[in-house]
Amino acid sequence: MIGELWRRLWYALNRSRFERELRDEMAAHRAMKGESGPRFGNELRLREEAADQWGWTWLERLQQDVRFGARLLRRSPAFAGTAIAVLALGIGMNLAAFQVFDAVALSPLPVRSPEQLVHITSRTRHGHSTSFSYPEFAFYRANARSLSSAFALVYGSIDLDGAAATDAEFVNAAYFTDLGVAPLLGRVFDPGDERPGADPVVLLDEAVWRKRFGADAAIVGRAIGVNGHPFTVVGIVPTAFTAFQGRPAAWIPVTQHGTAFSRGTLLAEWSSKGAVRFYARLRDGVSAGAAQAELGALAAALHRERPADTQDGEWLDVRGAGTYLSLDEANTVALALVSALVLLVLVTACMNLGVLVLARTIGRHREFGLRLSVGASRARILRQLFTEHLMLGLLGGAAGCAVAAIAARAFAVTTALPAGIAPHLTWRSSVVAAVLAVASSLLFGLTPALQAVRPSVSRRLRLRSVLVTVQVAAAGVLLIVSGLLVRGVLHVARVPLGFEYMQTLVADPDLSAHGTKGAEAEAYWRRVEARLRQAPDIVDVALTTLPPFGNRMAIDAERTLYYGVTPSYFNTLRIPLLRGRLFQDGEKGVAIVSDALAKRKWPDADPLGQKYGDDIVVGVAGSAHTVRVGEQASSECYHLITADEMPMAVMVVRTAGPPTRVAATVAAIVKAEGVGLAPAIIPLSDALQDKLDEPRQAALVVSALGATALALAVIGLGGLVAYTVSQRTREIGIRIALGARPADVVADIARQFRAPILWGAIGGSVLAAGAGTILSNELFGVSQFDPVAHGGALLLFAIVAAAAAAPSLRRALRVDPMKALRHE
Amino acid sequence: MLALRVLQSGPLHGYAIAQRIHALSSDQLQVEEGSLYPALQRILVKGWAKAEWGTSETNRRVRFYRLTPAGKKQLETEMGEYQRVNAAILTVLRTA
Repeated sequence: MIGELWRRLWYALNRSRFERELRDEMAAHRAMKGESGPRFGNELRLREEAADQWGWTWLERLQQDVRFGARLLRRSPAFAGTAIAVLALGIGMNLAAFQVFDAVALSPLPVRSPEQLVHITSRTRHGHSTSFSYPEFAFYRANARSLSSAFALVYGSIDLDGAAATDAEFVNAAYFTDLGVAPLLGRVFDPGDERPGADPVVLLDEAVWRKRFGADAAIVGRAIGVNGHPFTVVGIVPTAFTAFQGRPAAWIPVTQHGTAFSRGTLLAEWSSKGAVRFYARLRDGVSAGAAQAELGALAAALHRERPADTQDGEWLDVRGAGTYLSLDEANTVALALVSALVLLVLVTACMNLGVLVLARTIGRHREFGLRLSVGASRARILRQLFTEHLMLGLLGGAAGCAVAAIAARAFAVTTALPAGIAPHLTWRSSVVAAVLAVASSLLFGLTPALQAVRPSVSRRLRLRSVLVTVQVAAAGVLLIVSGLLVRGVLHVARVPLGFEYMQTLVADPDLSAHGTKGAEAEAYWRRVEARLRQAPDIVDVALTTLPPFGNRMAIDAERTLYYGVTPSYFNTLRIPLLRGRLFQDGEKGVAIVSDALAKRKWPDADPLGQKYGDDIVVGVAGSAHTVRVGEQASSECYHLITADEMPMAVMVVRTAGPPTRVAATVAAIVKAEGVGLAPAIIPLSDALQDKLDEPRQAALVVSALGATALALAVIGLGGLVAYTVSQRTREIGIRIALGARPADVVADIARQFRAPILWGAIGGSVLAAGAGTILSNELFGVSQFDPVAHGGALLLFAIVAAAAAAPSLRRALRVDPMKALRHE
Repeated sequence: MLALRVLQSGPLHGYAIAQRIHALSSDQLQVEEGSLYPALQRILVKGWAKAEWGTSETNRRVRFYRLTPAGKKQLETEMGEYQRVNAAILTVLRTA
């Protein structure tokens, strides 16, 4: 078998020599045979049939097809250019999406042996938590045999050398050496940094070092302030380092947490759940399953030992963390939706090109007829067409790689992907590029090929209608969904949210991180409140446990948010009290509910005096979705803040003028009343912008896809109308000569596109509404049937399509009847 | 198969193979060039024979085909197969 393969290859490589030999041999045969006997037959044909046995005929035909196809493409550069551009957009967008997915979810992290890294989370029958208390973590680290190392990541908001609210990460000293990270300058942490009594040290992120410290190499070895305490900078961590999610500006050994937060007791406190994210490296040869079994047994043992501090029936979930993003149930749905939207661009491109190629193929019917009549088989013609389509597909794919590089880069910049996982061309995405190229050439080539071998006018029109319908529907979905997302973002920015946020500040000194307890925190807040009330330009202040536009939530089974607030909360945020009264100081067992909650709970009865949970309702306030912005279904329940809740509270401050003007005053007061505090002072309008970042990015990305689809539709529909008009030039000329009005002619041409465009628009609208249902959380209360988004998107499409068709229509109407008649 | 069989007695060139088959079959079988040369190329590709250039009895440069061991084995297989089928056909013809 192998020998035969070699011989065939040998024949292919020395083809001309073997052909010469065959010719000589046959010539000798003919000579010996002489003129007697039957004729030798067509020598060339005999030779070709003999050479067929070498098994390379297909390659030769392919060469012929490629040469022929290339000649055709060169002869019509406009068509070739359009086709390649259309494919490049379609394939490029998809390839870019895949490259991002590849970089984020498939490519291993740029650290040592990423396949051994795992993320450990806690699960019970009731829920799922991604965080642990530090003593819990320390217990697992000390006892788990299946883990070669364990990393605690503790987030902290610090004052870094005067810059308040800087993100810092407290890590184990072994973190960087274990992940194999080399410092840009200086050194990374070593075990000595974790010893008791070690000097406080800090590592800076390269970006922060460049921006804040002017890339000054002399900073290494110098002390900078962390919450006002001197910490020595020992090194700079390069931007390219990317491990687990979240990018802090500085890293500090977790053992120094108590130094940074002067009275923080994080390391010893069992109750400080939510502090530690738990990552680990599996020992060589240990599977995640084995580690999970061992950690489960440890969790049970820990619960027996400390039943008060742990949960019954808790087990630990161990999942691979070797990529930046690991797929779970939540993001798989989003991912599938995004893939579907991106694939729609490719579908639009292919349908588009299908129409162009169909028109072109029909124009070639004479060529095919001629070939068939001189003996070409249908299969041979199909192969010829397929080769031509594949050439277009591959050229488009190559151009698509360039488009993808630009699009993926733009995406990475827009969404601020970490530098270490920048999307680029990997072997995986090369395979995907090739598959996309081949698949799209099959998709757009299918109908033209069908038409080429068995021409039928009625089917041709039907096919074209289908192509136009699908294309309009796909472009419609993209435009409408982007319209919905944009409307959602605008909606939040314009529509009153039920509370005042343009002139409001939030002051968050993060008391719990500093180890401030209930009564002490209460006293602190009283002092701050008294001083703020005397400061100029401050209208009112209040405390709340759930910061507006924050990520903190406390919800019950009915998805009602629980707020602990001071009585002045409603006045500060300008939330109207609709019925009943406000809280009185020191009151217990009473609640104020939002209007929406009251209407839902007691649609027919008077809410006042009813019981919600254990509390008696004393007041009804206007609905104000401060946390789940724009989510109509959410409702609020307020109670008077307790001393226990004081450490986690934030202060909301309403200002008389622009909030930035008093920010410094507020910061000074909040800082002065506590020890070593690094308060974050954030204008609520900024917090809202942050909150809108993600939906805005989503709107931007989908709008880019929508714009691409729109551009494709312009090329496709414009080309199609131009083609139709050129086919009917004679007819139009005669009609005009006979007195038809221009409007009639236009209406006649438009008629054949009316049905497919209408159906496409309806299909697009329905599919977009379906996508909108999945996206409802990103829409901020805008309905998935929002008439403005649907109508606007379709109107935009109609205008653009009409504009694309206009030049060729105008040309048609200017046709000189005499010239048109002489056309052929 | 016929080509392989006539090559068993020694190397021959294309024309001679056709002649030999013609003669041995008492002028009953006429091998067309259209089937002889594809068959010979197939034999070469499969490795059942090797070709070498030589001079014919009439002093022409011709290509001689020489059976390889693999070719001999192939011939045996094909002969066996042919005889089995032939015997089966004969049985049917005699008894039916």
